[in-house]
Amino acid sequence: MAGLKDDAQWIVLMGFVVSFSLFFIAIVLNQSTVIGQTTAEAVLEFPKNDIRGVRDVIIQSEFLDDAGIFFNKTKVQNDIRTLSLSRQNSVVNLSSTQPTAGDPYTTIDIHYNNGVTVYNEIWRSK
Amino acid sequence: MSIDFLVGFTIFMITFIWVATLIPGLFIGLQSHTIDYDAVAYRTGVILVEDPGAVGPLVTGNQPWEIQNDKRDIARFGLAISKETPRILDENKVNRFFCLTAFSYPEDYQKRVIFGDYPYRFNISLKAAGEDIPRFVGDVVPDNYQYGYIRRDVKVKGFSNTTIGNTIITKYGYKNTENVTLNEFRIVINSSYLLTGEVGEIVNPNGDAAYRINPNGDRIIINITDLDKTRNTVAHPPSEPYTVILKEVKFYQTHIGDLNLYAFSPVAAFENFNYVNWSATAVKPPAGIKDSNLSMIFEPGFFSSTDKYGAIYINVTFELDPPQQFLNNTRTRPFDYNYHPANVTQPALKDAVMEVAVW
Amino acid sequence: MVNTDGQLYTIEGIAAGLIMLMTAYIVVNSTSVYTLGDTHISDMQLEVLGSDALNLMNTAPNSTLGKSPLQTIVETDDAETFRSMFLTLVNDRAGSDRDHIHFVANVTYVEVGGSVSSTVLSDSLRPFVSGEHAVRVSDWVIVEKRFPDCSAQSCSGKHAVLVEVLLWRD
Repeated sequence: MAGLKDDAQWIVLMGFVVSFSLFFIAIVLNQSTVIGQTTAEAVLEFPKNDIRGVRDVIIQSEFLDDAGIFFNKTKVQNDIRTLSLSRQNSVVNLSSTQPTAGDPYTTIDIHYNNGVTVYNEIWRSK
Repeated sequence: MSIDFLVGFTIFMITFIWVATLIPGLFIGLQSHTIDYDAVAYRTGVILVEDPGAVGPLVTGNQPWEIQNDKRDIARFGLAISKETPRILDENKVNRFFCLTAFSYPEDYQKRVIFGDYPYRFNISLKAAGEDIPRFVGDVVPDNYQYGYIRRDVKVKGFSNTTIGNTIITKYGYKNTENVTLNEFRIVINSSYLLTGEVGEIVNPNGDAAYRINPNGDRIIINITDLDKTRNTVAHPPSEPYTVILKEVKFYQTHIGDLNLYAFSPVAAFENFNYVNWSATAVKPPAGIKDSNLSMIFEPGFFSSTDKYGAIYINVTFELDPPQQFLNNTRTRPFDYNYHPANVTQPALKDAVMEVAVW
Repeated sequence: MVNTDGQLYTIEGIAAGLIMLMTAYIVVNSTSVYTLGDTHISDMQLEVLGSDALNLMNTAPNSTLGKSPLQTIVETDDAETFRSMFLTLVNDRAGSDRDHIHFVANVTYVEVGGSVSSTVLSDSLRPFVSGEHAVRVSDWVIVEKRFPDCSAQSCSGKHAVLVEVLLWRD
């Protein structure tokens, strides 16, 4: 068109400035309202009760007898590994040493890994 | 200033003003402190229910926080018995935590259990099963605005006690060979066995602290009853009046590996607690005769200066008129305050609910 | 004074106004106000409560018994006791009113062949319609029990099982 003037472009420029600042505010808001949600999600995602439960049952199982036709200790520890994997989506490995003459404590080496959280412990009896 | 310029500018300004009034509507959901309330309530719940508490850096030894007299020595409150027994609370710690004469709301609690710079207001309540009224600390929970909330189920471990009556006296043969006026009765609290030995039927070595009797920190009540029933009823029929006078109570302790008896005086710390006595002035030790029954109530912390791996001996001497044979075990073993349910009423775990509200 | 130049200003003004309006519309429509249900906070509160209750049921009440109530319940398949104990634990409040939480409980075990299966242990007599937000909590128990599909002798002895409870608030 004839007489294309550049003077009026500042109006459009102001319009753009306002739009960009709106987008920026929207992004800031979007990040801030997530704070409360992430706290609750972090609590739900960390398997505190799972780890405590597996650790307690492993320690209890270590003091079962493994004799006779039942093989309680071996069976229970195999159950723990299977159920952990299928129901709690976690890999549990354990190995233990019995008390000997030189070392009167029972030691259990526990490894837990659920893909996101890894927990390792060496438990020693009192 | 051409009209056309003004018109264009006007349209722009009107639109700009209208958009600017839309913006505050975007901020409705945003209040940083309300988002925090549930997180702070959850954290407070975990600190109280799953942590045993911590003392300040100037405290020597392994003294627990609940027997500290100076509140500056307490770094963090925690009601659990130990790290290995989450959700099982110690009655001692619960009593001390809810004691509003010792700690003031809100400053003392904010620094030791709520944490953070913002002055949160809160309410922590604990109601045991069977009780009507909960114990609580803090303000009344608001009705008309949002607050963060968490509820935890817990068990509270009570204290042990024993009643030494006719059954026990007969069962263990606590008697002398002749009638004497002055009877001496000994009780042993074997701390080393109580803290490290087997606890009843419990096999799990991880959670045994929930069932242990801890002489250093628990309240121990020893009742000796049936004082009149143990005498010879032919020579002295039940209608004959008799008197019991408590002569003295002596405390001894043994240390680990050493069989000698060492006298010990109870620590002065226990004088801060109220305990039952039957005389007008404070009496050391807390023992008295009422209705012809002897009752000894050792408040938490009474034995805290003794060796954890030794044993505590309590020698009670009393005068009985008319003289009798029973209640005298100088020639037999002392009465053992142990985990046998026939000897001692074991500490029981009571259900309770704890609620934390933060706003 | 009035000339075609003015149309340019007007057009620019309208264009700027339209841009701002479009942006504002997009922004207002896309940020959402989070309601309590979206933020998982109520899920977290329910999960904490459920795991507390299940864990306390798995604690022996004193040292003379040794066995926890949950162990006895699983060994004897006692749905009634589980229901009353769990509902009391989970619905009691410090005030006088009660909460309304319901549940469904399973026992998951490993069969002789190595595969995992589960049986129903108890429920709160209210069917689970999938509209409610539900949370699952679980706890381990070592029991001495023969499970229904076990006929060989080697099924006896002790097993480790998972008691899983799905709970929701009405």
